[in-house]
Amino acid sequence: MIDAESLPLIFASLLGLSILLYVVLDGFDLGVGLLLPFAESNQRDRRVASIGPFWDANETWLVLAIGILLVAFPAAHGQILTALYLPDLPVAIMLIGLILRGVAFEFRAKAPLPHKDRWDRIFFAGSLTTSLSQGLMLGLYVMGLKWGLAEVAFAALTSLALSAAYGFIGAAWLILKTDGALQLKAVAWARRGIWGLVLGMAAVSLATPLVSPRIFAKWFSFPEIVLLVPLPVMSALLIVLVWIALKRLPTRDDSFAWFPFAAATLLMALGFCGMAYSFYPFIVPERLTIAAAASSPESLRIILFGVVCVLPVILAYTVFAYAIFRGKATGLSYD
Amino acid sequence: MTATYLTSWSGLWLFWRRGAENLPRPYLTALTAMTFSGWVATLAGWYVTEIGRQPWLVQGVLTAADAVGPVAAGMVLSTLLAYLAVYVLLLAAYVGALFHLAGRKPGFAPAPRFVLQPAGE
Repeated sequence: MIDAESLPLIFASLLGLSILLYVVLDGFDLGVGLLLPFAESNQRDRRVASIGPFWDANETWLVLAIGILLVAFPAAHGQILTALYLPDLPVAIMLIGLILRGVAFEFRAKAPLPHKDRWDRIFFAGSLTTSLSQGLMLGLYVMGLKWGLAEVAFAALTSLALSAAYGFIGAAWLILKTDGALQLKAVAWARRGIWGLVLGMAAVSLATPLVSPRIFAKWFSFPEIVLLVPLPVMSALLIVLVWIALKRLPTRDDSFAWFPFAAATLLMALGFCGMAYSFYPFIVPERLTIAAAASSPESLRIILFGVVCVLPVILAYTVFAYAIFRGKATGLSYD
Repeated sequence: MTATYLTSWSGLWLFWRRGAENLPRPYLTALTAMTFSGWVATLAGWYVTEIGRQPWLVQGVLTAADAVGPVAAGMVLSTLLAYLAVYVLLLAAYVGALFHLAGRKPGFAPAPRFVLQPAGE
């Protein structure tokens, strides 16, 4: 049987994995939503078709993350969500954004045709409010869940940066899933969106050690710094490689169309690892540790049994869905 | 609730006896009248559960008064109102789309069907 000390760590890792998968997967379909107003409306269907089979399942990872936070770390769930509820309501705003987006996705195809443009605008607006509020939450979390002027200003910056980063990974997804004129446009969007990702990663990397002397010491002390240097170096290298790739894409035989999306995923994973290293062992920054926030070992054992059964199924059907709908989105046909 | 079951079961019987094409007109009118009965039943059941278990949130363990968080009441009210507003708008859109899909509204083309071609070819 797994001992009582490692159980909270297992759940913290699962929570981290769910959040990372959410940011990458829902990130790209939110990004496609953000890019919807650009280019002509006759290309919108194809863009929506490129995320059609995936977007709903992608949001499941957010539900799983919040679920794990609630059942495994109830104290942290209370503190984080209560802090984010005050006074600008980013959680509520995000939920309204997600509701509008999900509904618009269905209604744009089922409501009367003259209303389609309106639903497309709602789809965009829902994607935008969701991305902005998630960026705001990221910034507030990094700043230790305080609502001072400097904290909110920083959160406003990460809010814009995360939205641009979602736009970037959305464009990278479109490079992978489309061809022709739309793919060409996606390359141009990706070239602009990547600065959002760079800005966001730089801002969080600079702010985290400055906010907390503990995190500063964790990064800038010997020998840790030698082991940690690969994180920023690899990120910088990847950004340069993506930049070069975006100058050459699309290639004639469509080779390397996968590269921007793979690089974006890797960049987000690297950034996430950096943040996880910074905040460990805290789950509520500088206030509550993973071990202190965890439920009792007995409860965690029961939940772990459920997770061991369910998680492989979710992973399997996710891989299955992406394998079936691999290749290019050819279009949305009406019959 | 009883009316819902009566309508659906008598429908099954009529369907079995007369086929889909020959359902009596009064029955079809009754079906239309029962459109939202499923919703009403769900909401009524939910209301009874929520109100019936007060003051407990978890029977015998936690009261609703003890479970309330430190968030100001006005804040909770404002988000509740925002959700309500969104849901009322969506309900209107939903009912509109239902009528549209049923082909009742003149002047609109038949609803397009959303088809995704398997990619790769």
